[in-house]
Amino acid sequence: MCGTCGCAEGGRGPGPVRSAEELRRRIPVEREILAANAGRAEALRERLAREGVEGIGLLGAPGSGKTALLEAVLPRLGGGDAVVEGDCATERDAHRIRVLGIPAAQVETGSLCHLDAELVERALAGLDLGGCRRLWVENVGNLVCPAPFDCGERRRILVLSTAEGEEKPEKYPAAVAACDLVVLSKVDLEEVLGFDRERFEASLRRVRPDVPLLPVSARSGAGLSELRRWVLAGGAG
Amino acid sequence: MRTWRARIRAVHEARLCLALLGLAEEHLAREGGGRITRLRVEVGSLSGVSPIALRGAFPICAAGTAAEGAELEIVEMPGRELRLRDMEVTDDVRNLRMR
Repeated sequence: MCGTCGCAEGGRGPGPVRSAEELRRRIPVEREILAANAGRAEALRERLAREGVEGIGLLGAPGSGKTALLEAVLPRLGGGDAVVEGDCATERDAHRIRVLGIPAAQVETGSLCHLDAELVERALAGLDLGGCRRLWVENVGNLVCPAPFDCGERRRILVLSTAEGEEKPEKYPAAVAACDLVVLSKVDLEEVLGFDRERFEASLRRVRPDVPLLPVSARSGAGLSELRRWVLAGGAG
Repeated sequence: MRTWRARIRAVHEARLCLALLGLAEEHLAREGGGRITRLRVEVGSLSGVSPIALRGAFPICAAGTAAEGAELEIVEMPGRELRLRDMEVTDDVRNLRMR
């Protein structure tokens, strides 16, 4: 609306054009737009570090096998894990973790497409971190929106499944750019899918020549000991 | 039909818009207030942000703020940066007097 007569957009009332031009000034800002979230995430990371906890983020498409990966690897870590699960709706993923005897908090985001530092912080209120060494943050299944939002994790794992095809890394470069490890999941399906691992690796290397890649199957157990080693190596990421 | 689709696609850009407006208003207050007429934003190609969705979300988010009706200039660049480079501000008091 124009503010003068309340007419629709496009209809302009007599504006103070000349004086506005005279008074117009430029303010340099040069600040990250997500600085508020980044600051919150940094504070969360520091708080976790003080309590001896490392945050590990999990990013991936819906159905890429993020929760299955947690179900497979957590029992091999010898304890000290807690999980924050992000989904648009239901407590199902948190329940899948709790039946393993591992504390989990569910964030139901409604229609929000990603987690952020504030949501994770709030979820922690319902989670006892006593004796915890690792806080897993499983983001909402989405390869686009979570990428720019720091959730206070120290390392991030990107899960891409064989069923998603070989060119996923190049199609979603922002997600690949924002991770410390790529897990290729569901490798037990490679044959039935006709998945070409060389093509996948070539696609990944075009985006990130340096990032470590671990082929894993939560079902057959392939690659889980390597993943365990990566997790326990901590600082190596 | 087009509108709700655009809105749903713009969910996370809307949130970014609110963060952008918060940052802008914070700086505006520090500079003595006024009205924002133009915002210049750098969007990295790997920032995970869609310039189209950002542009679509901006007028909706800016309504009722000091940046209502402001022009959003998006500078696309390589990398992961997402920054508010600068903004153009006009004196609010003079505007009110003119009306």
